[in-house]
Amino acid sequence: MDPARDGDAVVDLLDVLLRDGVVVQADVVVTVADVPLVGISLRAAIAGMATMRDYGYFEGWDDASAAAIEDGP
Amino acid sequence: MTDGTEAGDDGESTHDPDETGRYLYCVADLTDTPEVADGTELGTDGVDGERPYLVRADGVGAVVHRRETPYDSNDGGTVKRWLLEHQGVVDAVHDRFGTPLPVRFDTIVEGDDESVMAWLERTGPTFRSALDDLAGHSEYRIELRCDADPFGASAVDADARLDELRDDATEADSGTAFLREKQARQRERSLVATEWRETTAAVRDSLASHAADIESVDRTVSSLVETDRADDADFETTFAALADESAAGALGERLDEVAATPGVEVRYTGPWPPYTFAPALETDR
Repeated sequence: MDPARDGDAVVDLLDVLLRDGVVVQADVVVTVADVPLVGISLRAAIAGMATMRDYGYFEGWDDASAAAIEDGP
Repeated sequence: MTDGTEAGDDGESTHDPDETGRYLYCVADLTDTPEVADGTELGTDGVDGERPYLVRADGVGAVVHRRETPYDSNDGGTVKRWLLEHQGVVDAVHDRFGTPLPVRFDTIVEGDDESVMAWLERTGPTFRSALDDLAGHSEYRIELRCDADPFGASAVDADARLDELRDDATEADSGTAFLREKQARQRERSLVATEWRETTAAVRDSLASHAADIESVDRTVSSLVETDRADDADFETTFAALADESAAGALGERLDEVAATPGVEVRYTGPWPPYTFAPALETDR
């Protein structure tokens, strides 16, 4: 099978963006997502997303994202 | 506005020059693209409609836009939009410059473009070594989902102890029968769970022989994914694999075999920027 990059696949990746990726710890970095105040608020917002998605709330965004991302390199 | 190949101007014209902070998307290897000037816009909308551009120092470039404070919102739609926009920029960089170091959402570097440039210069070797490690590779995600009845059928059928418990349940008085039925159900669940563990461990081993690296992804911490997708699977196991394009084909062939197993559903996605394999960088210490 070939790996997919459709809208659903991108949505699955979103949580990864909050949790993974390079964490730059440097004197010049003033904020990162896991600073507690920021992180809690973002995560709370995301917890509610699944329900919103079930109602089709994000469909436009998924399509837009899939279009922007195109196929693999 | 600009397209993807046009070099930008000094980048200051459309933004408040007093905004002293740079939102960081990723760091890219620009060794093979000396023609790409400092300040080049990517031609892709960034988070909240911003125009991401490159700050270049030697052979590496940081993709940034002007932003002093972190993004934060209680509105799920807004956060999701930001995340998709962030991801779209990292993907555009990936397509154009090869595998970048994807930076976690909401990372802001203090200061202006010159501060970012000075920081890149100071920490060039660290970035270069991390970029070299990941060059040519992408992250692929493999999600294995289990429907226990068809998946576990052969393990359950072959178990003598389960047969005994069920025979007892049929023949015994009602109190004992109830107990035996309960034990039988527990034994069945345990047999299927063991079978799933062994199967996914074997899949991981065989994928690892093709991939540069592979990691199990713990999805129990994932609010979005958990509530979205763990709807009807009895078991779910996810791996992230770091692979080049040809290895990705080999992974897909192996996954075809896995998908032929009764009760196993395979989702294979990618290529993505290597979020799972990105290092933690302590660059000023």
